[in-house]
Amino acid sequence: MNKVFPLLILLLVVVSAAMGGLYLLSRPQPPPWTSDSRQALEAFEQGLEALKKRYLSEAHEHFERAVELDPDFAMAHLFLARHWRQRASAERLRAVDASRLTPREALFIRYYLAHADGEHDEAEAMLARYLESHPDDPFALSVACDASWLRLDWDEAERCYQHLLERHPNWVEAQNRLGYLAMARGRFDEAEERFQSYVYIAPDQANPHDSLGELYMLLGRYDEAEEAFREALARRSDFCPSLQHLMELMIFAGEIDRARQALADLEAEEACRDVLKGGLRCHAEVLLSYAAGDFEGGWQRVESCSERLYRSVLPHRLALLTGRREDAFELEERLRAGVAQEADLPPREHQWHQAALFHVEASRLLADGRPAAAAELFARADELSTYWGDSQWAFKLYNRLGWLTALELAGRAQEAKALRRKIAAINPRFASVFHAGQETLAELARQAMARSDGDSAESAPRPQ
Amino acid sequence: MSITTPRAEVAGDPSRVRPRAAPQFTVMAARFNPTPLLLLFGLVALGLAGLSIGDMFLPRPYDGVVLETDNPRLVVREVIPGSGADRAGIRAGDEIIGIAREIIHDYEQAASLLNRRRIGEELPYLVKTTGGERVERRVRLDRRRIGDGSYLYVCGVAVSFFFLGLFVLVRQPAQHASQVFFLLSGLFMLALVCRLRPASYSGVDTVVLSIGSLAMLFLPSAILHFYLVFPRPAWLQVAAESPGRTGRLTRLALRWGWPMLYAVPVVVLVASVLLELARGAPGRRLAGSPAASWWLLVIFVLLGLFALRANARHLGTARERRGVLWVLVGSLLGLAPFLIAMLVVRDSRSLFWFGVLPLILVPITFTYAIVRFQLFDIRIILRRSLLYTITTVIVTGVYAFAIAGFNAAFRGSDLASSSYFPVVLALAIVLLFEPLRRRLQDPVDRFFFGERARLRQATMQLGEALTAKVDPEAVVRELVEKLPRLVDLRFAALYLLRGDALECVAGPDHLPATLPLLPPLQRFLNRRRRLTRLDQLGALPIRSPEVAAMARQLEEAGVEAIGELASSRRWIGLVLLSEKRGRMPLEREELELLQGLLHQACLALETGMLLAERTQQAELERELEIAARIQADLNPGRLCFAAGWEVAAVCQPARDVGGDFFAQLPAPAGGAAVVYGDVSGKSVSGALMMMAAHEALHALAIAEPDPGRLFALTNRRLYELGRRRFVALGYLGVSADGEQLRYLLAGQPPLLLRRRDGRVSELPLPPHRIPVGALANGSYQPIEVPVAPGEIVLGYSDGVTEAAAPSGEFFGEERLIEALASTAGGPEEVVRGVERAIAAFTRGGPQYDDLTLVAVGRLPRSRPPGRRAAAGASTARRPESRS
Repeated sequence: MNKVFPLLILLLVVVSAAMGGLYLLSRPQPPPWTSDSRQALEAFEQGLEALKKRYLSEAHEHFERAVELDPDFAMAHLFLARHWRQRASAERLRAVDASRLTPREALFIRYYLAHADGEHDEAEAMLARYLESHPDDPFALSVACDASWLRLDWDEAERCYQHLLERHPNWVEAQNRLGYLAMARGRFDEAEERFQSYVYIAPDQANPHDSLGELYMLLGRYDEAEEAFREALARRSDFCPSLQHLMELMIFAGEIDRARQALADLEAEEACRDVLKGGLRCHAEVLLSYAAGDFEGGWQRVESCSERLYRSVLPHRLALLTGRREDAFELEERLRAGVAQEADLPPREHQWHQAALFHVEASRLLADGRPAAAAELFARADELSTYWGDSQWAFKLYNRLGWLTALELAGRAQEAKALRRKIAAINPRFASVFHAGQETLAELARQAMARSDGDSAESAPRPQ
Repeated sequence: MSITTPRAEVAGDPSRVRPRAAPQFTVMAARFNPTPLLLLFGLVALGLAGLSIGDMFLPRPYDGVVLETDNPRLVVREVIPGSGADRAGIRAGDEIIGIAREIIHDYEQAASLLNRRRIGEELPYLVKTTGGERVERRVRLDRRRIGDGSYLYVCGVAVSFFFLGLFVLVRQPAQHASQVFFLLSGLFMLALVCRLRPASYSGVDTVVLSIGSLAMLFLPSAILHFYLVFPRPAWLQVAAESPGRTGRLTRLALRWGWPMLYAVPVVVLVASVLLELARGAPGRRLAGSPAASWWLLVIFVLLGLFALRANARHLGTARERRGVLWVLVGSLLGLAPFLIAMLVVRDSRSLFWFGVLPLILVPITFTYAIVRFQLFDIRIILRRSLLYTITTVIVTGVYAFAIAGFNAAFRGSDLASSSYFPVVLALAIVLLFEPLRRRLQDPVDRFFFGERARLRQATMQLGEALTAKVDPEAVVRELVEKLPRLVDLRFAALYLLRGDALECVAGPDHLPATLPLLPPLQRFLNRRRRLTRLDQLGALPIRSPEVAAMARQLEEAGVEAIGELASSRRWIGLVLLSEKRGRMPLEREELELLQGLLHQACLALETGMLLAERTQQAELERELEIAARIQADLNPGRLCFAAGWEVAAVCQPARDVGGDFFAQLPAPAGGAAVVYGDVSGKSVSGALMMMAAHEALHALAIAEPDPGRLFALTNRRLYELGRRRFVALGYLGVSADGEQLRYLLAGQPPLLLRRRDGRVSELPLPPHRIPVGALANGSYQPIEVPVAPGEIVLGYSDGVTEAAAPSGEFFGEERLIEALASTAGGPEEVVRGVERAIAAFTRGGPQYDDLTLVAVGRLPRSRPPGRRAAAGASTARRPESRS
């Protein structure tokens, strides 16, 4: 018994230690966000969830409620400042005492302020240091991945999102971003797999269906795209991106009436008022007119809301197609100036704007009967553009249509044939929507070329 | 005759009684007892093994999908028909992309995810079909157990080996080899059960697999360690004790080698991992361990088997060597295929059949070696009833198979459809069952109990040999020489009672020559009446420090058991038995057999002693007979007295020889006198004193016939002899004129005078009546009294009046007087009459004292005077033979 007793004691100690450890492990962990109000915390987490699902208005409401319940809730202010550019929240952030925040919260605030102050390198360095000590923090990883994406370092962004998925397989945003990255780089099969996985992981969310629908729309699989958008809207009837995409789909599918109806549905949706405010209504109306072949009507639309359309290339095209060269030049200059002025835009934005600039210049040159030069600029625009979402893919395909016309008119039949095959391989139905516009531009080009052949003159000088 | 066998002749091995200086590891083992820690380790190991087995056989949610091996993607190799996956439409070739709304990257993730679900739950699967289409399928999870028959087999082998190790440790907790064997069995069990298993990806999976890997890590060292010290590190001891560098190196290795031995696998593992890291490519893993670790295991096993072979060569007995050989063969046949298969074979099915299946040979051969050859110094006594049961079950099983076989063979035939078929079959079973069982039982009995039978037979033979001997010396020699050989003892020793001590009559020299006779021990052994282990003495309430000291002394001398040799008549001595060779304790059955043998030896010794005593007694009786005849002859056959007088005397000794006598001495005035004496003491001592007195009287009477001076001289002479013996004497003579009786009494009762008218009176007593020889000086004055013709004087010894009836009453003087008075006739008649009266009184009862009657009487006047008496002759009767 003397020999057994110490062993029993030892066994008892071990078992007690194990139970104590289990108890400690099973205790709920403290929340990751600093707030004095439990309701504010709940509202904030609901906002995060809504943001993840791309339910922006809902997210906005939750974050607003969070700051209402806890005016000192730093992270809620950060999200409001970052996603909705609320100045009050931004100002509030500068007064935050970072010492009472978690390391993650302190990082995010300092990161945002550094970027806001133009100290981009410092901000990234700050983030890198944090990730060294917290390599598995999903929020920080997500921010780092987004930064890579914004820098157009898509290889790094891809690696980053994949790493994030490995550590946090349920971080669906990474799945979505990887899908868009694949789509942007022309890896459509992979993009489809990603979006299908996204749909599988979060079937009750609208955004996965919307993302898949966008891909299908790009690929000319309009029926599937419509089904996907409808699925999205079935999950969330006020999901503005899907309403918008549905409208665009109808346009690309050549169903103008249904497009108008979709636009009406979009306008009717109160949650989408803010979206429409950003020029979407004008863009949609201009696009509808252009697709319908009503170039004059389209230009009228442009004139009524041109301030909000400067980033669109359609006004410029409509100007050319309706013979308004001066307006076309002016739009070109305005685009150029606007790009130069908004230096704080992410590189991706700059790249797109540059591509748009090349496109509008190319369109003008083509209209002036200089197809060869136009082809070069179209090509450069094509290099800078991607199949990114938010209809940037549509620009790329549209630019290629112009490029195709330029090549054909320049007598580069082989290249034109190859390009035609490329366009058809991606979306065989896309060209048909813009056929009228392309033909009109081609005719203008031929007329200009004929004139220049007759007069042996270069293109008409640009008006001073 | 002495019962002593020269100690030098006794067989035994006393030189090995004191243990040699132990090598380092056993000395360390003596200081620190690892058994409790080992038992704790065993408990934990068993718990972990149970956890692993439970984990393998717990029902788990299962989808019915079998994935392709060696494919990083989760491609379906086959779908179990009827399973949830099959019902959902998943087919071979499909790729599993996601389960339960999670994208799955590898099998581990999938298994872990499924483990968290419930049986019966329906899960959405994202599947990419062979056509490239991604579809969602809903799969309902069924029940499944990961463990299969092959794992169960592995567990059976491993757990049986573990319990074998536990059994060995419990039986021999202090033995180093048994401790290492238990450690080895525990590691073996952990390695097989916890590592050679498919991953379940449950919560316990990581723990179990890690423990298994850890066990695999130390298993090679344990194997080698075990073989180095099993059954005992004989060659290491020899090497350590050898002079020169070999001895020094061996001692150094023994001091530091064991920790190094267990560090080597760790070093090899670390080196492998570092090498893999340097190369940047992971190496091959076999059951979670790098290939280098498995090669190390191969090397250690080979080294261990060589060490085992070396140990076997140094073992003392053929039995142990055979046992070790079995272990070596079993280890080779069991482990070699396993190691080769692990290193060479990739297919799990082939690995099982060629590598894992032969592992059963390892526990089987160890078990066989222990049962058959008592390895680890363990003696297993198998119950006959158990073997009977097993045999019966086997035979029943054979019959069951036979019946099933017959039924299968003859199914559908006319014979099977016949109603006689079951009857015939049943009869065959009934008739053949018992013979078959007995045929099977006989070899089993011979195998398992052969040694026991041989032991019984040998014991019987020895017992017969012992009982056939009557010479105690031969019994001792036979016992002490043959008994150790019978049960493989180192020695046996015999101590016989000599006075108040026990003297060693046979045994090794290192045992004490004598042992004290301790009554508590004697009583205790007498009560137990069987051989007792020395360690059982201390547990009993003897409360005798002398016994405890003796027990300690004997224990140090190598004695294990002690028993008494005692018959119903006497306590003969002690027998001491050593432990068996190989330090095996004596089993209960062996003690019982030996006890029976000792009983027979006791009988033989007792018989021999009795025979010797009887012989001695017979010789003594013969001597006594001779002495009685001599003594009787001393009493004169015919007595002469004085003229005109008659004399008669009789002397009846109480035993063969006695202290009473009568003699005829020369009288001072011529003629003869009669002296009758009664020596104090009886039997031989009385007779010898009687002889001395008789001869002293005769010798002194020649020179000094005067009774007074004769008695004085005789007194002096007898007093000088010492011995505090004295003689009551009576002298009857005749005065010079022949008319008076001249008598002297020294210690004898007063004389009785019977007158003619029949009145009896006592004659006056002389003034000094001290028996002769009682004092240094004595002065004796004879008395003369007139005795008329026809009067008789009777002298007698106190044996006459003290003759006792059966009731205890003495004859007494009154009866004597009455007998004297009532007996007519002369001295002869008087003596006879008194004899008759005494005989009638005692009624044949035992005679406690010698009887002497001397009667003298003057012849009646009817007889003419001057007629010379017929020399006063009368008869002196010899005692009857009392043999």
